[in-house]
Amino acid sequence: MQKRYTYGVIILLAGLLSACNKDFLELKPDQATETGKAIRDLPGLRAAISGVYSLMQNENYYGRTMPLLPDLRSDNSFISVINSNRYRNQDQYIVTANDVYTTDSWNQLYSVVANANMVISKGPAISLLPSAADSIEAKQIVAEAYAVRAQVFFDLARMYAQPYNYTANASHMGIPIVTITDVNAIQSPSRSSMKDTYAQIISDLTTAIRKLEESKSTAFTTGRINVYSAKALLSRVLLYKEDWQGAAAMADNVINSNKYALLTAEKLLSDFKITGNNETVFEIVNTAVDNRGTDGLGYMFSQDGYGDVLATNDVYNIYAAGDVRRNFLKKGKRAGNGGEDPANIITKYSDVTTFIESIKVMRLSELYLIRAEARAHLGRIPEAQADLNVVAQRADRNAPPVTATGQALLDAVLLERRKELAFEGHRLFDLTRTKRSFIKYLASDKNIPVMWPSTKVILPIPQRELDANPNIRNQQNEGYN
Amino acid sequence: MTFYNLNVWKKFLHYAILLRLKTLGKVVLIMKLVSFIILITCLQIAGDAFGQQDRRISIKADSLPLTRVLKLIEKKSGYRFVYRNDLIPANSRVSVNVNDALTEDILRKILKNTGLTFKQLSANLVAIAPEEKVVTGIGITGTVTDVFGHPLPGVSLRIAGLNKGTTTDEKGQFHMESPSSATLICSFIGYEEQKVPVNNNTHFNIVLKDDSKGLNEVVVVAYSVQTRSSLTGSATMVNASLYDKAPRSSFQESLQGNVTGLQSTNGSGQPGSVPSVHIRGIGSITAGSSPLYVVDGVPVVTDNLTDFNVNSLAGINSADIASISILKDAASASIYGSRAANGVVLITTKTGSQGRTKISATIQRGSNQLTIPKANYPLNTREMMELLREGWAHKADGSGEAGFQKELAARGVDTTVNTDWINVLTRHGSYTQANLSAAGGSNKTKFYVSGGYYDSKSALKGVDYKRMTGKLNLSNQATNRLSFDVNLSLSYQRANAVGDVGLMANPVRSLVRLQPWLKVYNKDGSYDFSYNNTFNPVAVLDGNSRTGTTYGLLGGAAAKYIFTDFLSFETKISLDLNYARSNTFLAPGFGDGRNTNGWVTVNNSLWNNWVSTNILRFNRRWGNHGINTFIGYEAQKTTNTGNSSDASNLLPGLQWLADASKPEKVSSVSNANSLTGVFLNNSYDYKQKYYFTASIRRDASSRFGSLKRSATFWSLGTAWNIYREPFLQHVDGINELKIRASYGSNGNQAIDNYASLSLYSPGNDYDGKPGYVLTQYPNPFLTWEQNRPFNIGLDFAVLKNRVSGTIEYYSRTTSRLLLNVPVSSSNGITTVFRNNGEMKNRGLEISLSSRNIIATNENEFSWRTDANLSTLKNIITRLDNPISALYYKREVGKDFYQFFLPGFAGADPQTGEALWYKDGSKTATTNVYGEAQRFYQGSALPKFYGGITNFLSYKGFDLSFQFFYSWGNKVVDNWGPFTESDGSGGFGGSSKLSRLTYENRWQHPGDITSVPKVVFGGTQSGLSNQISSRFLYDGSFIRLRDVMLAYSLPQTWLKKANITEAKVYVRGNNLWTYVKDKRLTMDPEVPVTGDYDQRPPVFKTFLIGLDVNF
Repeated sequence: MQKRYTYGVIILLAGLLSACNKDFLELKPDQATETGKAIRDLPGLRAAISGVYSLMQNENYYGRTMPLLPDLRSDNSFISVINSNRYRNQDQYIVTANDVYTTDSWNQLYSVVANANMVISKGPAISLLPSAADSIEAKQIVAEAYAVRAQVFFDLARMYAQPYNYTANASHMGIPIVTITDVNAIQSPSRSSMKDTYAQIISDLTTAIRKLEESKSTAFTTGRINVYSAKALLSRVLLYKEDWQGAAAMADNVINSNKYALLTAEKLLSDFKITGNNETVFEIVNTAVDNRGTDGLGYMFSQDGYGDVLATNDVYNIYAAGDVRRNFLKKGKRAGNGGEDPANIITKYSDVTTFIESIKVMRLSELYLIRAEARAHLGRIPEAQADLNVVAQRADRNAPPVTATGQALLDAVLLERRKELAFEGHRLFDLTRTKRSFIKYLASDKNIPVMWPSTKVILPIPQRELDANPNIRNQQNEGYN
Repeated sequence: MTFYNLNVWKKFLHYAILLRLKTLGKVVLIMKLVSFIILITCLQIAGDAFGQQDRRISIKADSLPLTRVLKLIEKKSGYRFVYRNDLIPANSRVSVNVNDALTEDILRKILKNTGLTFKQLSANLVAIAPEEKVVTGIGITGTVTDVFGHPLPGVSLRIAGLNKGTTTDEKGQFHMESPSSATLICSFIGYEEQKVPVNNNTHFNIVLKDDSKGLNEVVVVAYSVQTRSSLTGSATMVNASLYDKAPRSSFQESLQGNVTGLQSTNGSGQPGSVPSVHIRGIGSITAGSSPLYVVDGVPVVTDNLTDFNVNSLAGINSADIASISILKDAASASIYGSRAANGVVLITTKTGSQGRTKISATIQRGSNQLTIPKANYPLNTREMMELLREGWAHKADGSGEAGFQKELAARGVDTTVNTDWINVLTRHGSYTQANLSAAGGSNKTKFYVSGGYYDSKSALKGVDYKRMTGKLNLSNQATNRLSFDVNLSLSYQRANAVGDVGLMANPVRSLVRLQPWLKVYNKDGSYDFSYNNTFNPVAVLDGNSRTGTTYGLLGGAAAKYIFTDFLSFETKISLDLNYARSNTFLAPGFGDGRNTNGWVTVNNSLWNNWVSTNILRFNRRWGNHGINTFIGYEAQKTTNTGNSSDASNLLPGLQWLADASKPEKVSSVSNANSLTGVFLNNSYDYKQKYYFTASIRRDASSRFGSLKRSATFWSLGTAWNIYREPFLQHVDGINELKIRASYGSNGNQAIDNYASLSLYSPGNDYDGKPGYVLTQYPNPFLTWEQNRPFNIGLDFAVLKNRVSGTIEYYSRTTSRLLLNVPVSSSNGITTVFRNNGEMKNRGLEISLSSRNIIATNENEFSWRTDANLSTLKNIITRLDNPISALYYKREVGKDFYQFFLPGFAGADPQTGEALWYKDGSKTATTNVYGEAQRFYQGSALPKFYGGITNFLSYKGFDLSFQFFYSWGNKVVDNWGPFTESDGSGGFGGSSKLSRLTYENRWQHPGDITSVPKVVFGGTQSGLSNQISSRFLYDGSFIRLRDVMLAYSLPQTWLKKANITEAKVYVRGNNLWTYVKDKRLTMDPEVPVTGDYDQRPPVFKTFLIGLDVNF
C-alpha cells in the first residue's frame, strides 16, 4: 500500500518536471507582431502604412493639436474662462519645456517618422512582387511613406523651430532628421540646420512624387497621399522657403490637374465637413470606428463638448457680412454658468456624437492662395490678383475684385489666407513666416502683444527629449530654460 | 441514533462471546449481565472492597491455576465471579491456605501480582478485572516533535483521568497502553499543552508548539516554519490581533504602522482598492516595487482586477488569516529568487485542530464619516463673494462695484444660493461585517470552514463595497506516512466606484471646486446642468454607474509523504483563478453621456494562475549538529485574457449591452507569462547556538530576453544566540540576546509580459483598414533586476522579559534596474527597456515591546506597549540620463521621489503679486512664472515613520490604541493650482477658492503672506499650470489609527449558554490626527508618491462588535 503511494508521488514529480520543458518559457504575444515578422508581404506593408496614417489621427497631431494650436497661439482663438484646462499654457504664452502638449506632440510626430522609415526601408523588397498590380501598390505605399515623412518634418519644423527665413541663409536650428529607423540601434540625433531640414523635406517630397509617377498608381483618395497631394504639400513647403518659382509651379500643377474643384459658396458650409469633398487635396480621415471621443478636435469647439476654444472678435470682424465663411462662426453663449456671452463659437469642426469629421490638411483654395502669394512675389501681379479673386469671390459673391499691388497685395493674400484657412492650423505660421507682430487675445478682454521676432512663437524642445538625448541637450530654443 | 444503537449491539455480541458466565441458570441474571457489560465497557475497576456482609470461608490450594481457585471460592462463598477469560493469565498458578478468612481478603491474596482486582457488583456478583490496566486498553506508540520536526525527549504523556503516564525517550518516541477512547495529555515545559484523543488509533505524531514568545516564537518563513532563535534573516510575524476582524477591507491596510520597514498607504477611501505596499524603500523605477504575495504557498495575482480599484487581495477575509509574515532580507526572501527583491508577504490561512469543533461568530456594525474638520470646510457664497469682490477691485479697470454687479448679472450668478457641496455629496456611511467559522477534527482529519460578509457604504456617496468569502481547509493523515491537504477559498467582491482623479465625474473634485452658488436642482425639480460641463455631481451619482465585480477562487491540493523520520517529500498544485467584470453606464443627457443616448461599457477578464510546487525535505540532528534542508522545484504560469465592449443608444431605464442599439467598439486582452525555479535551502546549527544558512535558487522566466532567461539568486546568513552561552546564563537582566546578519541576492521581474521583444501593435487602423505600428524595441539581453540586501539585526529581551525588541539595519542595492530608459523620441518610441541604473535603500528599524505592568491573574491590571520606528533613505546611485516627470526629477544622488518644481517665494508685500525664485539659489525672485527655473524641493519619502500601540486589560476589559506617525515627507496638492487660483477663474463654476486663500490672502501693502492677492480673471498668478512649491506641504502627521475597547463576558454567565467565550467591543479608526503643517487642510495620508489627485479621502470609522466562540 505504502509503496504504491511512494511510486505515485515519484511519478507525479517526474510528470511535473517533464511538463515544464523549454517551450514552457517561450511565450509569444497573441496581440502583437514581432518586428521581424512584420512588413514581410503586401498585407503587412498595407497594415504598416495604415499604421502611419493612423498615428496622424492622434490628438497630439492632426487629431487636435496641429489644426488647433496655430490659431490659438495667434489672433484667431482663445481659451474661454470656463475651460477643461487644455492648452492653457499655450493660450497664456507661458509654455515651458515640461509642457505636456509640447512633449506629446513631439513624441507623436516622431513616431510617425519612425513608422514611415520602417515602410521606406522594408517596402522596396516587397515592391518586387511578381504581380504587377501588387507591385504598383507596394511602390505607391513606399512613396506615400516618403511624403508623410516630409509632411511630419515640415510640421515639426514649423512648431519647434523659427521659420526658414529667420536667418539669411537658414543656418539657424531646424529639427533632428532621422531617415533610418533600426530597432537594434538607438539614435540620439542633434538638430540639423533649417537649411538641411528643408533640404530633407524637399528631397522626400520629390522622391515621393517621382516614385508615385514611376509606380503608375492611379489610386486617388483624399485620405491618402497621391501624386497631386504630394505636389500640393511640396508647393506649401516651397512657399515657406520663399522659393516662389517652385511654389507657383507646384501649385499650378495641382490646380491644372483638374482633379479638384472648389465647392460652391452654397455648399461650402455643408460640404466642408464631408470626407472626400471635391476641394480636399489631403485630409486625415476619421471614421465612426475611430471614435475620437473627448479627444476629438470638435470637442474643443462644440458647446456640447468641452467648448473651451472660442474665436476672437478680431477674426470675426474680418469677414464681410456676405462672406459665407463667417458662418463657420456662430454668435452664441459659452455653455455653462458664467461663460462668455456673446461668444464666437467655432463650427468648422463640431461633431461630438459620431466623430466622423475628417481633418483637412490641404484644400484646393490654399493652392490658389499659395500661387497668388508666389506670383505676387514674382511680380506676376494680375495672375496673383486673379488667384486671390477665385478664393475671395467663391466665398463672397459681392467681394470687390482685388486691385492691390506690392505690399498691399501681399497683405491682401495674408488676410484672405486668414479668412479662408481659419481654424485649420495656419495662422501663426503665416504670421511668423511673414515676420509679423500680432496681438494674442485672451479671455476677459486681456491680450498679449507678440512682437517680431519673438522666441515664444515657437515651442520649446521638450525637457524629456533634452534629458534623454545628450546630443540635443544644448540645443534648446532661445528663450526657454 | 441508529448508529449509536448499532454500536451498543456490536459491543454486546462481542462481550457475550468473550464472557464466560458461571452458573448462568437464571434468566434474571441477563439483566444484570447487560448492565455489567455496559459497566465493564465503560469503566475501569478501581475499588476492591466488599460490602458489609462478607462471607468467611476456608480454602486450601497448592499451585492450582487461578481459574480453578476462583471456581473453588465461588463454590464455597456463594459469590458469582465474572471475568474475561483472556484476561486471566493462563499459566498463573496460585497457592493458598486459609481458614475462616473473609472472601475479600482471600481474593486480594490470590490476585496479588496478577494485575487483577475485583469489585462487588451486587450482593452475589463480583467482577474480576485487570487492576489499573484497563480492561479495554490498547497499545499506542508515537513520536513527539517540535514544529520543525525535531524530536522532543522527556515529554510527559498522561491519560486524562487516569494516574498513568510515560515520557518520551531520546528519539522523542513513546509507547504505552491506553483506553481506546481516552485522551492523551502531552506536556513539556516551554511548549503548549496538547490534548490528543486516542480514538482507537495506535500511532501518533504529536507536534508541540512553543508557548513562549520571544526567540522561541514560531515564524512562518518561505516554504517552511522556524523559531525566531533559528532565524538568520529578517522576518516579522504580524500580531494577529492587529488584522483579525479589522474593519478594513484589505489586510494590507492593517500592516501600516505595525511592521518596521513596511509602508502601506492607501490614500483612498475606496474600500477594496489596492493599497501600495513598499518594504524597505523603493526598489525599482520602471518595474513594480510591490512585494510578492504568497497565500498558502501560492504566489497570487495582485493586479488591479477591474477598472475600478478592486484588488484581488481584498478578497481575502482577514478573519481567515492565521498568520502574516513579512520577509525583508536575503536570508528570508531570496529563496523566492526572481520575485523577492521587494520583499515577500506570506499569508497562511487558518486550519482546524484536533478536538471538539469550535464555532466562532463575529458581527460588527459601524459608520463612516469624512475626516475633513469643520474648520477646513469649503467656502460659502458669502465668503466667495467677498473674495471675488476684492478681486474685482484689484483688477482695477475702474468699473467699480457697478461693474462687478454687471458682471454678476451677465454671468448669471445667483448669490442667494448657498449649496453646501459636502452636505450634498457625503453621507453617514455604514459598515457591516459578519464572520462565522467552524474548526475541529480528529487526529486523522482536520478542517476549518468559514464564511464572511463585508459591506461598506462610504461616507462619500456612490462609493460602496461588498464582499462575500468562503473558506475550506481540510487535511487528512491517510497513513503514518502519507497526508493530504486541500484548501479552497472563494470570494465575491463588488465595488461601486465614482469617477476619480481628474474626471469631471469625480465627486471629490466637485466638493472642492464647485461654486457654492450653483444649485443641484432647478426650480422645477430637474437637475441643473448649466455648469461643470453638465456634470451635475448629484445627477452623475444618481444616473451613472461604475461597478467592478470579481469572483476569486484560490484552491490547492497537496500531498506529503514521509520516507523516514528525517526525509519527506511534498507536492502541491494550486490554482488562483480570478474573473473580473467592470460595468460602466453613462446616462444620456449630461456628463460623459451627454452626446449619446446612453452608453454602456462591459469589460470581462479572466486571470488564470496555476502553480506547482514540489519539495523534498531533510531534517536531522546528530548530537550537537543539526541540519535542516529542503530542495524544491516550482513552475508557474499566469494568463490574462479578456474582452471589452462598448455600445450606445440604450432603451430607457436599461443598462446592458443587449439594451443598446449601436455597437461602438470592441477590444481584447490576451497575454501570459511563465516561470520555473529550482531552489535549495540549507540551515546548519551547532548546539542551537550558532546558525549558518545558505540558499540558492535558479529561476527562468518567459518575460526576459531569450539570451538572458535564467539567473541564479542566493543568500548567506548567520546567527548567534548569545544568551545560550554559559557566560550569559548567569547574567541577570538579560533573558535573550541574539545577533544575526545576512547578505545575498534576489531579483525583480515585475515587468510587461513581452518586454524583451520588438513589437508591432495592432489597433492602429485607418480608414477602415487594419494597421499596426512599432511600439517596442527588442532587448534579447533583458534580465532581472538584481537586489543585494544586507541585513544585521539584534534581538533582545531584558529585565525578566519585560522589555524585548529588535534593532535592525539594512542596506540594499538594486542594480541592473529594469528601466524604461528614456531615449530620443526620434527613435519612434520614447523609451527602451534596459537593465540600467542603480538605486540604494538603507534604514534603521527598531521595534520594542514593553510589558509595563504584568498581571498575575486575569482580574489584575496589565499594560503592554509596542512601538516601532523605521527610517528610510533612498538614493539613485547610477542613471545614464536624468528622468523628468511632472513633479519629480530622477537624477544620480537624489532620491526617487524628489519634487522638482519652481520655488514659490510668497506674495510681494507691496503689490501682492506672486513671486517665484528665479532658480535654486533663491537669491532673486521674478513675478513671471515662466522665468522661474525648477529646482529640488524635498522628497515625498518620510524620514521616519512607525507606530505605537498600547494594550491595557483589567477584569475582562481590554483597551488598545494605536498611533501611526510619518514624519519629514513632502506632499503635493497637484490640484492646488485650481483651488488656489487667486481669482483667475472669475465666476467660473469650478473655480471655487480654498479656505487657505480666504484666510491668508494678501490684502494691503505691507501684508506678509504666502498667498497672493486675489485678482478677478488675473493671469499673473493662479493659472492652473503654475505648479510650484506653493502647493507643496510638510506631510508630517500623527494619527490615532485604531482604538478598541473590549469586554469579555464572565465565564459564569457563559457556561449556562454553552458559550466558551464572548466579547463585545467598540472600535474606531482614524479618530484623531495631528498635522504639522497648519496650511495643509487635506488628509495627510497619501500614497507613497506624495500627491493628492482628488481621491476619495480616508474616513473615520466607528463600530461596535460582538465575538462569540462556542
